[in-house]
Amino acid sequence: MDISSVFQIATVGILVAVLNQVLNSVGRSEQATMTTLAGVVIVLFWVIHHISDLFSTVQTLFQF
Amino acid sequence: MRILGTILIILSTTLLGTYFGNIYGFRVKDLKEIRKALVILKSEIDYTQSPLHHAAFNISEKLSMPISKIFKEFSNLLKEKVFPPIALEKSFSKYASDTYLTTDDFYQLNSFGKTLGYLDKNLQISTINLTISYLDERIEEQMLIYLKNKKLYQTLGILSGLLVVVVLI
Repeated sequence: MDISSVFQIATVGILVAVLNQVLNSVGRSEQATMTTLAGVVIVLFWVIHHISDLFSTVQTLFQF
Repeated sequence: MRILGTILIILSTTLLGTYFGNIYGFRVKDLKEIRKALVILKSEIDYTQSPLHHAAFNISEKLSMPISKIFKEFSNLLKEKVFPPIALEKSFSKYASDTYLTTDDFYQLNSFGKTLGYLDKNLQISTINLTISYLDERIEEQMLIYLKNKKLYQTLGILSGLLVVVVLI
């Protein structure tokens, strides 16, 4: 796993957090929730195959 | 190449954000122009007592673009002996798409137009005052919305640009 993807995820996290704050401050909490959800979905798309890798590794560990 | 794309994306989303933030500002500007037109019309009726087509032409000279076109058209229609309320309605509907006014505003302005050229001077002036107070209310309301939304849309524009760039890189 490349370190740059970690930074990428961190940047998305920061941006989504700021967007969330901005939208909440003007009373648009619905859009704020949607933005957070979109951020989560984007990051999930990036890491989903890493997670599946992890699960298969754990699975092989317990196979004798 | 990558840097160029990044700059383009951020620039375009920032511009979009600024544009959407300013839409409310354009509406405030148009409302203020209409208000100015009515104030001038009031003084034309009250002091100079010039004919309506002449007054409308004077107003169109003093205002800036989309609203001045409306009054120029109004003046031209009056010269062709069109009945004033119909002339006003026609000129509003012709240039409605160029302005940022809503149908509610046009409804109010047309109902003001119905009294144009009807009965005496006092009636004209009191309907103009009524319309001006309506516009004042709208301007105040829109100004609050404008100030609230301007910053939001600008920030949203920049941040969404950054987000797209980060996702694409």
